[in-house]
Amino acid sequence: MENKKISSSQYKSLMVIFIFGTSLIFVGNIHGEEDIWISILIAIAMSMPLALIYGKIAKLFPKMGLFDIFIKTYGKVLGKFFILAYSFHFFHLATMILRSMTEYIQVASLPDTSQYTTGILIIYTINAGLSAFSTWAKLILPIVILLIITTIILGFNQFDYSYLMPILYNGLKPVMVNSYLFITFPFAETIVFLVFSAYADDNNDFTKVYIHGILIGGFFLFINVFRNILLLGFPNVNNVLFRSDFATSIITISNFIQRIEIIVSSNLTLTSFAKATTYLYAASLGFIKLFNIKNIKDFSLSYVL
Amino acid sequence: MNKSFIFILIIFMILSLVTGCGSYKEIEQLSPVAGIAIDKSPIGYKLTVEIIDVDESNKEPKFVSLKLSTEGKSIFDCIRNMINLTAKKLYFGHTSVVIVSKDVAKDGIIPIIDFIFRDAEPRINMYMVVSDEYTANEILHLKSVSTDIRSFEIDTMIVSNDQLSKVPNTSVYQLANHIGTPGLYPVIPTVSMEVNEGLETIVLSGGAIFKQDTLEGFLGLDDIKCLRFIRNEIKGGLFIFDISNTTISLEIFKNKTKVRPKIVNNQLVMEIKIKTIVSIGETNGQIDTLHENSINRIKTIAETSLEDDILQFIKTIQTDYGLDIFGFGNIVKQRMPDLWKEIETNWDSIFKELDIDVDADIHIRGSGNLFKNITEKQ
Repeated sequence: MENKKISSSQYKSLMVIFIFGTSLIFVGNIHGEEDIWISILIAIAMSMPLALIYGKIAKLFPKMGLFDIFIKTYGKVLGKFFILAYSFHFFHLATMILRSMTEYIQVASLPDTSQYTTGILIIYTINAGLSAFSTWAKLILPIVILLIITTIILGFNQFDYSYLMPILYNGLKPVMVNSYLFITFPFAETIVFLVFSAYADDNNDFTKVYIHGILIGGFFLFINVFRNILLLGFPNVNNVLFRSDFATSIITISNFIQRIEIIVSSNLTLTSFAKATTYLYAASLGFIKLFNIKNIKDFSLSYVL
Repeated sequence: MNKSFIFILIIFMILSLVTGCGSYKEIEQLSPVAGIAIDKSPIGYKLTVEIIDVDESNKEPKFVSLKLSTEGKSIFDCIRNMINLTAKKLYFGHTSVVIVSKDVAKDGIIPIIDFIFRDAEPRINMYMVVSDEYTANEILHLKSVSTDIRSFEIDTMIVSNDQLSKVPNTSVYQLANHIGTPGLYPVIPTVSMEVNEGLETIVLSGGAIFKQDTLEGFLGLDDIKCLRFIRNEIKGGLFIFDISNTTISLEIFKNKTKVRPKIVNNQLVMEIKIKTIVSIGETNGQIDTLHENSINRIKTIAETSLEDDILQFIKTIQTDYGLDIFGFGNIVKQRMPDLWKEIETNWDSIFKELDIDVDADIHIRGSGNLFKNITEKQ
């Protein structure tokens, strides 16, 4: 199962879903200024060089994951140190995402949900293998995008464009700071996909995968932020924790279509589950390499717990 | 088939039978709250809720409204104290209206907005209204004219007021925005009691001006119409004016108001351009709708009359309250950000002396079914 090759379209959809991840809900939790949508655009543009770098790395070391590359370039000891550091990094991010995801579920809908439920699902997915996971991503991505577009079409009537003005009121500096934050999270995070580059099939061009993934993911993130600003307005957007949820909860079409924030909930659950799984998968791969364990299944259970 | 397969199969079959929902709520155990009325009490707040109850004694189930009230230190405290009163848990997912008494509004409505936003159940597109009467809960206790549930009636009245444009249509999330926006003071609907055909009923009676989150004063129904004209919120309604002895009612179909700040002789002037498409709805005298001259005369008189109304209204607000409820400051911020940075701190005093330039353009689309007046015998 582990040896199955993954096509580039599967990679792309996995990456788009990964970029959506928690960002669909938490986007702009940094200093939400009026111009946050400009920040996203800048961030997309500035993460293109990153995409080129990542793509080049994948090309230079064919059939090798990030962890193999570490050992090859830095030698056994230093390489293992890097593996350890990166695995911990991925693990840490995964726990953060799990935490925020369950937090959302608890605040928004079901206050008594246990935080372990998603963990069990993640163990199952990791054991099923990367190939199954990326096929799932390819299947789920159109649904997620369709749901985003639906909320925008339904909310179109209630958009208030005056919230976009004035552009650059606080100057360029906060915009640049925000866009830097956007680059690190979520665009540069896509480095985790280098871990999986060993599983790529032969005619896989990673540069293309990265560029397409970031462009598509970034574009829908941008639309998403735009919608939140136009619906919720300022300063509400800065005060509310789960913007997308609140923004879509406003959408009402003559008492007939309303309470559609469940769409956002399902989107969030799907995408952040994917993100957490990606991280945990990468982290488990790292630890396997570190301790020379043959089978990922022996490891994932204890790891997730 | 081997044994383990059957064993697993049985386990899965049993599992699928014993599933359930985490943190589920039975619908019978919930009482949906239609509206909340908040008053002051010696401890803190007195909260009255209107609950939708289903009367199943008849063949067809009938919705009846029940009222309950408690006191507590905070809004949430009041709500939890309801547990002492009812067996069912209150459910706020369908709450459509929050009625706030004058006293509470004078102290500030931010705690209430805070609860609505923070809690998972209430929806942020409900309405908050101020009670013009002494307390808020007597509004809930009035007899209902058209529906069984009091609060839903208020909600529907505010929504369908777009056809009349005499009450501000500001829901809680917009209110929160308005409180936090510099250069804009919120106006929310008011309700009061009226004796109509021998019944004490509830009426929407205009708007309440807030300074940040504290109540400052009340506006009448016609004032709100001017306000909606300036804020570009007119979606329908009538515009009534007199030509000598004739009263003409124009029905508004479409309106677009543009407010632009301008610098004239180093002075800030707000330029209000109103473009309205109307049709003659009713008249009690002789008007000639066939000739361009007479139509133009009606048009010019209507325009000047509308301009006068609006100017008059702005003057009153400037002198009586001095609060920028029109959002002029916000528009200056949007259009002239550099100027706004200079004048933001003393905007309130600038607003009191602000020059306004109103220009109305009324386009009369038609005269209904009549092209001549119905006349008596000569």
